[in-house]
Amino acid sequence: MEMTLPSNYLPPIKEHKILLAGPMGAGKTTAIRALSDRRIVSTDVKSFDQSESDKATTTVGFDYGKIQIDEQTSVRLIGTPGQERFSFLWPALALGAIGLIVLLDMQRPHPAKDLSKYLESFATLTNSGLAVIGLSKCNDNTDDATLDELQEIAINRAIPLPLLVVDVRQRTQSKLLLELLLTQIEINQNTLGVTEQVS
Amino acid sequence: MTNIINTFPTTTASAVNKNIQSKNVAMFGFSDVDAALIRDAIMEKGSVNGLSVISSATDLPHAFIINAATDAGKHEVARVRRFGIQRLIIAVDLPSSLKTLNISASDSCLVLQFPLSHWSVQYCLTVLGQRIASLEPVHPSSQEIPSAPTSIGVTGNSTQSNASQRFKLKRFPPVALLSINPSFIRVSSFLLTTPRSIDELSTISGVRHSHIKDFIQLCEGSNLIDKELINGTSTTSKILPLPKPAPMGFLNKLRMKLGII
Repeated sequence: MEMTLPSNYLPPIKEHKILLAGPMGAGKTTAIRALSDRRIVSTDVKSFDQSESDKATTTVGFDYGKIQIDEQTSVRLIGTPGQERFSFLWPALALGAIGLIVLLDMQRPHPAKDLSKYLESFATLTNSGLAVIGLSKCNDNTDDATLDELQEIAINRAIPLPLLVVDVRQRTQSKLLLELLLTQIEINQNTLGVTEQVS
Repeated sequence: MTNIINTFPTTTASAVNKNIQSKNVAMFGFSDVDAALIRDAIMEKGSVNGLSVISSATDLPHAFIINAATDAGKHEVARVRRFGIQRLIIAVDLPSSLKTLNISASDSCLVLQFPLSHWSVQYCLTVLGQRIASLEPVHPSSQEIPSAPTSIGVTGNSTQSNASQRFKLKRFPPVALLSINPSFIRVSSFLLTTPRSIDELSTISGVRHSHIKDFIQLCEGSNLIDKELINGTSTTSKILPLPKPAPMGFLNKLRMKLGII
């Protein structure tokens, strides 16, 4: 049986996915809220998990923001849940992502361990250079040695990754982080064969 | 000097005036901390050089106005946004009424971020010096900004041998430096992975030489960059530029949507 397209047929919508990962309280939801051009879908609930962060609410599913570029093209911003026990969701959320922003909470006890864990968990993207690292909640008490250690981890890789101290509450800095990721994608897009996806 | 100040009416009381040899510096509307930072940035290379560090003209009494509270027209050289509201103007005028900066709107303003940093202030001053130098009688008709004058925060021989050196970042520059010029993000990303000369970098990234030189100067001053001599002939010809994305490709569309380009 021959099928014809309806007269009001629109070509398929092209959606790109950018992932934000990091421990609980690093600012993923805040960054998505800063970047999204519509109200984000958040699964924040009251937090009873004081072992990982003392924030009042936490994301238990994932956060979803969107940047609508034109009628056919959009970018989905997906924030992963930060708690370790939800790590089984990460591979599924990362599927098809064109880039990754890793946000670290510098108030946590071992940011270097956190960074290594996320670089490993999202190796497909991080090993391809399709990722950037943001350090949030730095202050005057932030240890220089820790910053140096993180810089070493980020830069001593087959494909080094940019690492920035950011305040994601400021939209300009969230945008800067995203722009940095776009540049990484532009430079390294062939490493993952994503040329077709982003062209 | 009074005339120049009157060109930019101020609404804030705090003002710091400083005379360095024959050059006047005036700052208005800054907190004490920011004013001190700007003074330090200007004076970093010593009072003997003073502002001549940023200008090849040592005999002209340039007047610099750094004003946080007002707007300015053709004199405007740099602008700082503070939380999207307050703006800083770094403006310059020359003693002769015939010499004024006439800078196209496209690149006249450098958008900087508070809190001010040495990098951003020095960058402003470097550009200021370049623009003053471009007005010198030697370049009476040139609209092109010449290569950077004696560097701020950089050792004296670094710029003269830039062409025969490759650079690679030791660590990624901070937000304060990247925010100075939108092209710095792109330059940083390219210098993160592979040592490249300025020519190579310009070819592969499409960023102007002058911006790359500025970036390298700032990174050198902050010990963020390694350099190595190029042995033998340059490999510029072997570097193929990235295929330019379609004018309205996805990445550029997204940048436009975000207001980045």
